[in-house]
Amino acid sequence: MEQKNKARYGMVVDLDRCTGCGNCMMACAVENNLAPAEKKANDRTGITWMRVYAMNNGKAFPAAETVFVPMACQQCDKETPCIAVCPQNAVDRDPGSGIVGQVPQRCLGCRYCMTACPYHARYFNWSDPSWPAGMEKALNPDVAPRMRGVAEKCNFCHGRWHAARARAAAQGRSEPDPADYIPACVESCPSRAILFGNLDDAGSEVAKACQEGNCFRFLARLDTESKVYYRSAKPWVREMAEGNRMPSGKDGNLS
Amino acid sequence: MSNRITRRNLFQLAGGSALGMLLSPVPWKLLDDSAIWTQNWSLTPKLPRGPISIRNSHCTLCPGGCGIAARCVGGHPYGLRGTGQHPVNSGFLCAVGLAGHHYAYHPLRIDAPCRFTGREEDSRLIPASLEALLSEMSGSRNSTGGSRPGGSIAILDSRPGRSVSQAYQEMLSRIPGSVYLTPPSNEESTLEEIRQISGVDGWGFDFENTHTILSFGAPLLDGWGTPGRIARRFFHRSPKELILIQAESYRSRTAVQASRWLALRPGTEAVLAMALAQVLLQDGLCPTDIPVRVADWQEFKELAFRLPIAAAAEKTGLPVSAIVEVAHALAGSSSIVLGGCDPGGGPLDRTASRAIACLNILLGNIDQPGGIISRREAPGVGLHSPRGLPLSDVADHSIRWMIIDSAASGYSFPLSLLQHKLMHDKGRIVCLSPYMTPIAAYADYIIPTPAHLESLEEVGTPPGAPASSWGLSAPLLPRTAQSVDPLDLIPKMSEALGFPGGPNTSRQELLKQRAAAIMAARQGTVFHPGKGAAVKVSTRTGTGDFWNLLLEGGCWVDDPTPPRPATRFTMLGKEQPWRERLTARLEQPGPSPDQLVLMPVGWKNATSSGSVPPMISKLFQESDCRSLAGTVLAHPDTAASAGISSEGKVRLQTRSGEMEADLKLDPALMPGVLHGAVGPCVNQAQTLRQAPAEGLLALCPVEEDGSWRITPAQMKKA
Repeated sequence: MEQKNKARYGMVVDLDRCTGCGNCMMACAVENNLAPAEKKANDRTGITWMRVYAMNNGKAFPAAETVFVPMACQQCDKETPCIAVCPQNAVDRDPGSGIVGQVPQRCLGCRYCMTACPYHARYFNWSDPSWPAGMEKALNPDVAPRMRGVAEKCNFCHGRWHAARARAAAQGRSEPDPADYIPACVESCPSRAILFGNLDDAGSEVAKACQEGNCFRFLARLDTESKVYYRSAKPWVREMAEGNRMPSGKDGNLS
Repeated sequence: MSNRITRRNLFQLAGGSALGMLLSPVPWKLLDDSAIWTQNWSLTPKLPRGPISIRNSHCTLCPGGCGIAARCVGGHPYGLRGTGQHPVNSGFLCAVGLAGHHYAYHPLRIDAPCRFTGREEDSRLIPASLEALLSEMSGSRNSTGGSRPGGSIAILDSRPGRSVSQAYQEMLSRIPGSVYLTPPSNEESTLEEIRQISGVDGWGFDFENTHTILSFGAPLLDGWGTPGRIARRFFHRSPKELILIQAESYRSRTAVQASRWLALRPGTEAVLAMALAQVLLQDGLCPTDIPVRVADWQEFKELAFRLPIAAAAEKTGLPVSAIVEVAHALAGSSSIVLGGCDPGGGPLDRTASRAIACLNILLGNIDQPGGIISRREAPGVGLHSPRGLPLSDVADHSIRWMIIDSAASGYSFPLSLLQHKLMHDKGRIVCLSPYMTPIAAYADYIIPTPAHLESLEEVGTPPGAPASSWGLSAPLLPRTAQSVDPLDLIPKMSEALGFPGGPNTSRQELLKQRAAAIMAARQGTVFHPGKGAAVKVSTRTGTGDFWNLLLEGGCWVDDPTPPRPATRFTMLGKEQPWRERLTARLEQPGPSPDQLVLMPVGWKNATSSGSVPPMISKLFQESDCRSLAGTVLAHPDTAASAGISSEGKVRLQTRSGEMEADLKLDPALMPGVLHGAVGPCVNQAQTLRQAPAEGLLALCPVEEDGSWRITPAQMKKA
């Protein structure tokens, strides 16, 4: 039976505003203690909880058009594929926030979740994370580094969620102030392309935005009720998403 | 029965033991425990612990002047974000700035003076000392037998306009034959041309109030100026309020967001600017007072009509209707026309910059709200002009000692520009840099300076800003023992060269003097990061109070400068042969369709000449965001014309040499144009001895006008 969440945090990413600057990737990596890319790391072996893909309309110069698609865990709300396949209960959905999280200490590294994830938004630690000498002093003290042999993914900056809840509790409130809980990628985006908030709060900007006509979800036919929406006024972008095309950069037509 | 133990018995025992062991839980327990142990061993770092605090400062990774709020644990920064409501960057940083606190731990950090044994590929990195450098400097003076060193002394200041820049200029003013140099690339090339045309200094772009911007390849939405300022203007209001027209050969990040993209052939910027001028003149779109204010109006008018619009359209690759529409769009409202400067590809050629500046004058943009407005200098500047001689303007092979202050400028230039300026054999380069960069690797002496956020720095007016500003970057990290403050080095070098003297004040005293000058002027406002609001400078109780606020991340911003009385202009100038240059550019035949051209393309703060934080490797290696150094992108038809049908290794050849590159096919690019990625060497060099390479810029010769944007090239399969 699906568990009812108290809140349902989600995102709306405006692709028409995204310039592909990479701020979200950078802020995410710094916030969540991801290690710099190893020498031979690439888009298949590297760990980037938030990854920006370039998606084009398939036409040639001068008719070619490009949009940049920031792609993180889509936080599936229904029949979450990674939860369903995990033999260790290492993936769970927080009933207080609806956030799908990963418990690295439980993970045995079978990578079933990576196979199951239709968005390729899960990553595996093929080796121990390593930082240049001394850089461990610059790690975020709120986020534990993951060890070799476990999978990981975006958790909407769960450390910030905990901090916001602690702040709310200290102030005698049961729910965090929306201004206190903003994931790093949202905070760093200079073009304000990413909206974040409680999708169940009808008054929130994000809840209104995801109801707009030009909003869509990637791979919507899988009916996983992902909580990350995208929007674009460009018809070709929506057509690609409706055609179940993923911006994987690897010709990832999943239809 | 014999008690003799045979070899068979031993094998039976071993086999039985192995089988028994397998059936017991022991091996599985061992396997499980060792797996758990490897997941928790010491290679997974322990997190820092300590009191959490937030400290405000400023980023000095480029001249953008962004305010930063550092989250610190035990006093060490672990996360940076833009200071909310900051008047310069509005609370936003660029991707490089977000990881700025990692620079101190850069694998290519230089922690002691060193030098390479030569400039050959097999040269070795050996320790050096300041004394050895000063001794050689002194020796160069003695060898010539006089007070003058054999050749010029030059200081290349990567970020002019600082107090330390003034100290450099003071030092050089005492040394005959010395020269103060600035890098060739900057984002104020259009403003510099307007300064020359008007004879008046101090201009800025009023993006906040403009309606239409025509950008000739300026990466406005990809790091130009202060990224937070541009983003605030472009995204935080209704897009309908601003029309951005981007003219460049490919659909860049800025062109993707622009209201209109003009697919301009490379090298035809001056032709388009003069064609737009012709439409403005022909259709009577210039303000009526402009002909009176321009001294050489008739001459310019004749020049503008020299090339028919149809011919200009053919050269630029644009339809006539597009040129006419853009001219009318610019004239119909407040507008700004600005020339581009690619972080890797360098500035536009100066002819194009001049034509673009003239276009602003024809449109009546000068000193108009929403156009190019007056900006007075911050108090305290004025002893010396912040402008130096562009590096490209120095006579070849004239410099004996080139001292490079590697303060990050965000831009790159080919090393050949340095090579040509040095004296044969005797020329020496001293690079003051915290990291091993291609320029440092080319130097004879490398003197380590404090890394980003390790020393007290100042942050001046960002490029293109509408008003002057000034702030401090208070150190957030301790300095390394052997790093040298350039300010301490100046008097020592000056003495070694035979001209003793120089600044005898500390950096802090020098900056305090500047703060006192600003305070004394009692103009402008100072931003208080704690309150997120600005207050009048005149309300501060004293210089100490003002200084403390600046140390806490405060930022002084000047009041708007009132417009000057009607400025007069000389568009074609008297000293420079602009008429001949523009005529030649207009009459120059278009590029042959068979000729490939190589255009270096970079990203501000992440070009080959500088250093990037280790985390930037994520963008270059693990996503589609940026192309790695050594990648060349081309349209499939371009590759096919060179007999190449698939991606892979290719050899590029220009008149500067030959190099291997990774070809990527991109149908979005203009046929005939090769885009060479001028990126940092992420993860290519892991130790100081593996000096990072210059990359594709080595193939781009510097033209007479100081540009290297377009180079005829050949490509073949490797």
